[in-house]
Amino acid sequence: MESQVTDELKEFITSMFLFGDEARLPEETDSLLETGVLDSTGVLELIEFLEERYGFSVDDTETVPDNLGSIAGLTQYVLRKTGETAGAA
Amino acid sequence: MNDAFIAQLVAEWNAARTRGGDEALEAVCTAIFLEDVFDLTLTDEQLQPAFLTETSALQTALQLQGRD
Amino acid sequence: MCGICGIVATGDQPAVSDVTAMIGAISHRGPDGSGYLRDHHAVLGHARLAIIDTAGGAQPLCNEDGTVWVVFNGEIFNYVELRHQLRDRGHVFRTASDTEVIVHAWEEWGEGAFTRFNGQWAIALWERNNQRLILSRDRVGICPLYYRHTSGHLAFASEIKALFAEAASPRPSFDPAGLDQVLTYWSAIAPRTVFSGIEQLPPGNYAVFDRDGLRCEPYWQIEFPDRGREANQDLESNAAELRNKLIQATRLRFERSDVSVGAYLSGGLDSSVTTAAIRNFTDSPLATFSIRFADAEFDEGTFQHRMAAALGTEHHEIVISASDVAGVFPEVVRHAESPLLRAAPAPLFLLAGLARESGFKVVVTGEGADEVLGGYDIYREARVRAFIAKDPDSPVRARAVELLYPWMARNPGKAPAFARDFFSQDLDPADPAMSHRPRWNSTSALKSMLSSAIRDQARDSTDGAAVSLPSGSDAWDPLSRAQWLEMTTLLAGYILASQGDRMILGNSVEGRFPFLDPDVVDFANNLPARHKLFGLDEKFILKYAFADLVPEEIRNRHKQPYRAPDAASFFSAEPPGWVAEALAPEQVMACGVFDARQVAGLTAKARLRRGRFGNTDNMRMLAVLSTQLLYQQFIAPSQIAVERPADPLLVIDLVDSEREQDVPASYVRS
Repeated sequence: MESQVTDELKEFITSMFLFGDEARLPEETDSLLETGVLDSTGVLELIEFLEERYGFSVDDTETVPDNLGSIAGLTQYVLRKTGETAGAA
Repeated sequence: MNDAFIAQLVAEWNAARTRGGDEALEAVCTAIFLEDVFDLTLTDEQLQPAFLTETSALQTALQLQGRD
Repeated sequence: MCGICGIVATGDQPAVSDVTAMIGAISHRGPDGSGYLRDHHAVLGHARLAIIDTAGGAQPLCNEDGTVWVVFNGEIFNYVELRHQLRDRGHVFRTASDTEVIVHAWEEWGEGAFTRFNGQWAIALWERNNQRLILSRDRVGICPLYYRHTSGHLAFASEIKALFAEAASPRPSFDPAGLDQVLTYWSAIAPRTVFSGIEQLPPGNYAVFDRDGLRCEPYWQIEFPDRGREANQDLESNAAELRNKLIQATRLRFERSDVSVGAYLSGGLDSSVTTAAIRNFTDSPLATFSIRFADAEFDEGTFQHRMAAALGTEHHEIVISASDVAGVFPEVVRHAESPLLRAAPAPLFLLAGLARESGFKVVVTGEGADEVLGGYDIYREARVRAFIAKDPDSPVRARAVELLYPWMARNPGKAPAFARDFFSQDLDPADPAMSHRPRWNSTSALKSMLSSAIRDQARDSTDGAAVSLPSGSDAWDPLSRAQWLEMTTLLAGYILASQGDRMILGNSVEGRFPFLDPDVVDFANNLPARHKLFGLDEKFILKYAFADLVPEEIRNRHKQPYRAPDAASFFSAEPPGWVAEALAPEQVMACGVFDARQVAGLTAKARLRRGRFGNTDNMRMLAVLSTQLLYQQFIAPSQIAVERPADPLLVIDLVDSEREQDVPASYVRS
């Protein structure tokens, strides 16, 4: 489950923000902001994607770098919000 | 930096600013003006409505700061 | 205004056919007539838009004895006063035109002439005795001037397309370094352009070309006083003086014309000031012109009507839809001669068309106010960032971000945590360009879409910083530094060019800019910063000085930057055919500027979102579309159709007349 979420996030980021240029996809723990992948509009598009794809609502207080700032952070955030914990099937 | 100039600038500011609304934000706005015009740096304690929206207290503090 | 062009060759006789082709290429700048001068080593050309001395002011024209000739695009507004001075010094005038003042001023003062001109210009002077060409451009870059220089040969023109019309000019190609500059500063920075081998004369400069080669010098520089040393600190007297100077500048531009002058009215403060000045301080009826948008998000009609009604003007408006923008965009790019990061020039192109159709050849507009009087958001943002930088961890200081954009639907305040991070980027208070670094960095994000070939070539040819603040600027107020950067980058390269001259003259109309009057600019530059940006209150002194003439609801509007429908225009249900062709992979690869795969990815996203993009994606799509169009229009064709110069054509052939009569110039009209 975790790896599926990670893959889906990577695919979304690659197609929507990198326009297919996989070579520029950062490491899972890199900051998406500092690597220039995400800007302020990108955050909003990311939130839209999360809400549509995973069916939960992103609260204003949750829009923090810990949750949304890296692929690893995003994965854990999605798993928490969808009720799945790391390691579960 | 003389007293008359400080008084003039505080008067310009008071005449120009719009009141009403978030007090804390208003204080920030005043601080931006003062730091820019007088080329100084206020502390977080000084960036408070009580300090910044009371004209004579402000004027006195600026004059004191200028004399340091 | 008009268009100018010409060729000087120290070793040959330049061909008349080349120069007539060049004139033809810029005939939209001068549909009222043409002229050329042929000397042994120079041919000068002119496309005329008749505004002052419509009967007598045909060009090229010369001094008393035919030793100095000029072709000129622009206006010298103080020509009446200069003519008095020059007559007093013994000069003899044959016409009533402002053009003739230029040759006599050059005779009298040499390069000292340019600082005496109050106006806008691109000038080419030919000194027969010295076999020398002098080029000059106004202080801030209102009028364009490009040239191609090889050893012993110089071709110059108001627009790049005219330089391509010269038979000997090499096949056009993009300059990677110029493209790199557009994707940083929004335009190439003079002397660069986006085309290899084509340069532009920087604003405030003149150039001399003769047997010794080409040299270029500034005759004027943007200057600011040291912080705290501004001569006059008194708000009342500064406001009064600004008011007088602006009214004078507006009157000069409105009254000195033999044809009707109209005024643009955007609904914002600046054009409200200029129109109010015209209405209250001149006697003429006033026609105003405005852009309306079918989309309420962009429309400013309420404010435009308010001002037009208050002044009692004959008001004209054009309603623009997204499909209008998309339909006219290829023509807009052909006139701009640069990649564009916004579609904003398109409605301005259509507005100039409205003015023309309504019978107006001249319009007064509010451009320049934001630059010289501290109107832009970039100045406010810089001040907030400097405030936060003093203690980036202070939660009190962080709230300053909320002061910036209370009215925007999508603002950083909605995602507060990220807002601080975004805002804190590039927060180096020691960076003299701190005000502009975020814009340049966020624009540079576009470079990841460049093809690797272009990126490599751009890197290899970058010759140091294209933009660097002058020495002594560290003593200026930070606002002054930001203004200097804005005037030398966005104003000259984009606002006055792609949104200004090219769009207006593309419709055979002349624009005039009171806020860029040299007396206004010099005065504004010497104001204390707080009179321009009072805390976060922009153009404070302008609002103060004209409080009696501009309604409060317009004065107190939050700054609404001029915006037009952008990428969404090109991805509606029925986009125009050229869009798909421009984005076709084989076209993108043939052009070679952008990476075809990423363009395909961006296009897929655009189609999915119907072009509803954030700022950066918007710039990406506009950059790709406009660059592809430039490629199709200027680079791909093996030849470009040659147009004829507009009739009547004035021919002055000094070579033939010497041969025939053994005396200097005689006029031949054909």
